[in-house]
Amino acid sequence: MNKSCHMLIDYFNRTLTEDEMRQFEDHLIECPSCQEELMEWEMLTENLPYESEAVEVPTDLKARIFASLPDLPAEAEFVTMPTKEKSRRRMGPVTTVLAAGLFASLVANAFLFSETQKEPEIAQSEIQLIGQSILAPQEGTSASAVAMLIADGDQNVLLLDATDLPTLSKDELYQVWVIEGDQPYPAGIVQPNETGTGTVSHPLTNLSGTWDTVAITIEKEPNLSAPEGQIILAGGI
Amino acid sequence: MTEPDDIQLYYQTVAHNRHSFEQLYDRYEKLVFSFAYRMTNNRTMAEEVTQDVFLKLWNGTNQYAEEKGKFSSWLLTVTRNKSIDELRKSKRHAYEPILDKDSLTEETVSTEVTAEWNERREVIRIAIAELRAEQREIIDLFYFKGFSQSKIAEHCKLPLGTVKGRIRLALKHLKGIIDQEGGVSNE
Ligand SMILES: [Zn+2]
Repeated sequence: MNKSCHMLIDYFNRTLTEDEMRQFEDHLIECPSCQEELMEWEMLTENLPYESEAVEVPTDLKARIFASLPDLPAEAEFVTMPTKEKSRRRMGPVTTVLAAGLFASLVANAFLFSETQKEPEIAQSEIQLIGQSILAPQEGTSASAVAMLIADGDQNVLLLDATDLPTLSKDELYQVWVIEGDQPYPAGIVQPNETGTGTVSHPLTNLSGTWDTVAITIEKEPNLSAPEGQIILAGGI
Repeated sequence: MTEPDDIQLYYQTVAHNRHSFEQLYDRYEKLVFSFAYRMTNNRTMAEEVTQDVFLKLWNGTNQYAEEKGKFSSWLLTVTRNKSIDELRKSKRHAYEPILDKDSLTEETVSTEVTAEWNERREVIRIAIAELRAEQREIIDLFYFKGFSQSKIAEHCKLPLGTVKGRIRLALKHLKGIIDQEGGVSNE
């Protein structure tokens, strides 16, 4: 029992000064018993908000809140756009969402969460995001995909999450490629569900070249030495 | 089609998907506002709290992580924290005993969240009614008023060192009754 431990209740109730708050948070990181206790207080109180009686919400509150939303940044800052495609469209919300969601779920375990902290701390984990790209759809398709290059320990992995993939006929498949200069390498097959969504994670153990493009094509056979079918999505990474 | 879950909507909100944010907002507006009102006993403050909670959600200022538990519990913690901050700012810290409102108004149940909430509220209120007056008071001072340890000690005429134990005992007792009543366990 450290002298900081007794501050837990006042930390929970935010009656500490800012300095004390920070001091306690530093302590919390190192004190398993406070961590456990904090979780216990949260567990013991989790029902209490539901004791509140439902009150009428001002009818215009929602409109006011939505009117005060700041405008979107011109480009989502964490996404590298493919630069080679002249005809690429602006990144839609769906693809940004995929990127955020996919990455968030990967690093979720690495978060050291703190309520009052302005920024989340991401603990050094095995998994690192090296590169990320939104694949641009080719003419006549609304498909979209996010490709991410992840370092998992000393292995590189290509993660790809696609949506809105058109339904294929029985003998067709979606082949993922990584392309180094003019040389393509097959990098997994996307098997979309009935809503056209599919995810692939493909280790790049034998492909750790300087490839710079990711593409998805429709093929009749898996893992050909070069794409033969139509390109659906492509982008630089 | 099943409705997207909270966590999915949260990630989409952080990625600035307005539609997902709106779904999340509609799901929790009433609960957040009502809880903020329960905490602050003031409509203007409850509005400010609600606005702040949802704006920070949109802006990604408040980060949720799945190991923090249920999204709804986290959202309510954020709501409570903001309510306490607002209360403290306004210094409106007058003491009012818990459960002085004896009317359990029946509301039209419109959403799943409200339905679950109505059910939980009834169980919790029955459970609170079973507590001794001192236990009800200490839970109110601690949880809904957000008093400091020393203020609670002063109010309840307890030695500072015993405050934490008393709160914990009261909360454990309450939780025990609630679990017994059933129907409001978290999963
Ligand atoms: Zn401690």
